[in-house]
Amino acid sequence: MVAASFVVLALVTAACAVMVVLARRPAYGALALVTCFLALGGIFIILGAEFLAATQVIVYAGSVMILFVFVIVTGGFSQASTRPRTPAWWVTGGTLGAVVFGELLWGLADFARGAGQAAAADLTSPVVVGGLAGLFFQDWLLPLEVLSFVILAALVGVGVLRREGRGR
Amino acid sequence: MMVPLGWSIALGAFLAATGIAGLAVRRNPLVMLMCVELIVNAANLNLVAFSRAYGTVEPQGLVLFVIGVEAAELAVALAVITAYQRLRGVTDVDTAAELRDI
Repeated sequence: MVAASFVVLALVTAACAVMVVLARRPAYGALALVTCFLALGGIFIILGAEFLAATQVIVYAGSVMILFVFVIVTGGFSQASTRPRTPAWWVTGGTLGAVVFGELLWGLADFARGAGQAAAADLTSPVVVGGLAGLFFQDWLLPLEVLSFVILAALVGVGVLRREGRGR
Repeated sequence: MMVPLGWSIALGAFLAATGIAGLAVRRNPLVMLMCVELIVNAANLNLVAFSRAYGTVEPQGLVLFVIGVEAAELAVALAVITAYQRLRGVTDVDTAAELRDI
């Protein structure tokens, strides 16, 4: 039952990822990426990371992709790609994707074959959110504050870039 | 009850390969940014899968940092692309060649 839902979500994620690459209009690709992130959030729940699933849906699918869609719609990027998709284009993309896919699977084959499955603690208990809180607010408190500075720097940078674009 | 680790690794590898192939063949800067997001989410999926397999919670913390840094990077990248679009009016990374002969 859980495996069946994982397979369904994995197929949705994979199909939407391929649609992002193949869609001629960037707006369609952005909507496909939103679906991909939502399905990935579901997979995170199956894998026992409920807090990260919520973060993925709220931050990635709910803020980052909204920003993408805004920029696509209001920024002049919404026209369809008119480049001809020659067979050479398909061969290049397909070969590169297949080679990278095979290489990643070959490199991680030892892990995929079953090392580490047996002794997994039960991460679906509510303790894991407490575990993450203990991690962030005790051991990793300084990196968490530095992350807030990174986001502040990005905020200021975006404001500066907006001003220079308008010539003020 | 548990999903085998290999399934999550295979899905993560497929997402990363799709993102890399998309980076190579697409010329619209926003589509290329979306392919970068695909690659980063493939890494996140791998981190969560290994967190589940080894029973520790630190990879999930790393995923939160990755999400935060990615959001910041994306905001700045979108601002840069929008500013460049306002300056040049083209939406093709191949024509952004002002630094070529330096």
